[in-house]
Amino acid sequence: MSIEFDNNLPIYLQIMNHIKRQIVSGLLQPGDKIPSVRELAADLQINPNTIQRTFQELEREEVVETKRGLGRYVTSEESKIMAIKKEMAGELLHQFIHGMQELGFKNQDIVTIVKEAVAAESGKNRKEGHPDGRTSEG
Amino acid sequence: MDALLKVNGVSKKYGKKQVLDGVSFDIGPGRLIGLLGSNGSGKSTLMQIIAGLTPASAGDISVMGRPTGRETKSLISYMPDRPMTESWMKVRDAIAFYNDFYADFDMEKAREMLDFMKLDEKSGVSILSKGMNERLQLTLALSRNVSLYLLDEPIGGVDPVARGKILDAIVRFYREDSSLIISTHLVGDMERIFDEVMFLRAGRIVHHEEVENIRMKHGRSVDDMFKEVFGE
Amino acid sequence: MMKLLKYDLRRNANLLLAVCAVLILCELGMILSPAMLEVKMVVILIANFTAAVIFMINNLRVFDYNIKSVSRRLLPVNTLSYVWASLVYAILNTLAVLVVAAGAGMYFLGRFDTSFWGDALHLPVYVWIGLVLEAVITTVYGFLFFYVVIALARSITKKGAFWVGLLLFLVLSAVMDWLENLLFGQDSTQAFNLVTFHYENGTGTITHDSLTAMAGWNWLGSFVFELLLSIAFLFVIKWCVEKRIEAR
Repeated sequence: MSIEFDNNLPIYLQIMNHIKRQIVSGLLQPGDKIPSVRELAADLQINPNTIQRTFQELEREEVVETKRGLGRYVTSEESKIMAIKKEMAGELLHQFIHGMQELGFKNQDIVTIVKEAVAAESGKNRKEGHPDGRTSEG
Repeated sequence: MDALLKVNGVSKKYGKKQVLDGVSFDIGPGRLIGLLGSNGSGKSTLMQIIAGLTPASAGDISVMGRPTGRETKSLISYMPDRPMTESWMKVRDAIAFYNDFYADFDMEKAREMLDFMKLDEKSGVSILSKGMNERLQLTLALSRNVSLYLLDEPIGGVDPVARGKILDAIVRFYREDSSLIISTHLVGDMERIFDEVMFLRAGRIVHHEEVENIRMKHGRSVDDMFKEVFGE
Repeated sequence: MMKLLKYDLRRNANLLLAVCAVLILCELGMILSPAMLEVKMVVILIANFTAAVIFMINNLRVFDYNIKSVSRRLLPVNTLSYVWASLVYAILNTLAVLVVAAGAGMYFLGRFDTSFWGDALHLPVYVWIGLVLEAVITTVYGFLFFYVVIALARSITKKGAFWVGLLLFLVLSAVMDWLENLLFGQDSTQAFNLVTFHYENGTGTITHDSLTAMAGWNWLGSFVFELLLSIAFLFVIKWCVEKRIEAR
């Protein structure tokens, strides 16, 4: 596992986002076990205390849960996973809408354009053999 | 929780040259600390004083409440910036040496680390490349189970591959109740493994802060701050 | 201390074994050669003496290394362990030379006038005890004298420690001579006599003169003097290493 970290931003937040993205994209399934602090620290070459803080935050947000004696697991609650998806999408949406508005589009137009774009993307995806609707985000 | 390491008003003078001037700081347990400064800023001298190899001109130091001396040698594992193995030794002799003298030496851990670092026990120490030598020094230093590890420029002058290996080993093999102080001028490569950093300039600690704080409050990387402080 | 000794020996193994090997070969060579008896003895004497000197220099370098190298100074051992380890190392070296010399001595035993041995064997027991004690304390004192000079030199300066050491050695020797003269009113070279006595002893011959000088009880004075100084030297060395000498 190698992630590009930005040293200008808090690392623990970046790791949190990374894990959330993995959950959202399905790389980490609900109920999956997460690597231990030590493993993750060694893999990423990051301070273990930073990883610890990440996990604590994730637990506080109920994204992961600790099972005594067994380790840390991704939450199995679907509602929670959906909430994370929405949260991450929220940021994307906010930036997108803001960007479109700056280009001068009105809200109605934005909706129309999005519909057209999604349809076009699906067409492209079908031609190239990709499954529908899946964003190719890593 | 009492501080693991207390440094109080430590100064060091060589003739007229003031290398360290009233250095004071406390380190708690379980911390990875970066001691940052440009070359010649006194980092090595400070580490040598804590390790008990050089006497301070003024000030005092205590490790786990004990003053620097024979007792603290069993509490501190020091890795110098220059190799300190003897040319007649093979890698396994260097390991045996540490095992013989340090009761806290963990032979199993050492073998594990040698494996990880791809070091051959039978190699002569004098034919090792600089990178391989650093890996050996690190293996020796980290295979001891102590409270305080002092690593002086562990990745200085070493190729990027070995650098990665060394950082990996530091994070992988360190113990949770111990603290590490790592001195370096290669901040960008190492800043991700530090909890706190101390900037040592002209013999003084000019800044001592938690790393994530620097990122959150000042919106900068430690490397950027380093460049500001040391005016490169 | 034993561990320090073990590693000191291993580090210098090549030199030690080489010197011993050359010495033995030299003696064998001489014994088997057709040269005159006196010539053989002189050559063997010189060889033994050279070996002893090489060992002595090596021992001083071992001590120097122990008090200033990073790997040694980090070890959780008593400061004086460095001294004991070096002393035992010196004793072992001396024994090695003595054994080899004794071997040669055996050869010469049957070939020389050994009447003076008879004189020696007739000396009273207390003289022999005095002799042995004196030899031991003087050897220890001698080495500690060198060690303390090395320790002081390294405490004073980083560069040119050798020259500072040499200077200190000359000054300190002169002071010691003067002191001994003052206290015992004897021939001030007596201390040196003992040293040379020791080395000649190592080569299998004993000068008759020094032997008679040992007879009697006046050895007690210088014995105590050297003992006290040895103890003082130990304290000085300990202070130097713990408070002054920086490890490189």
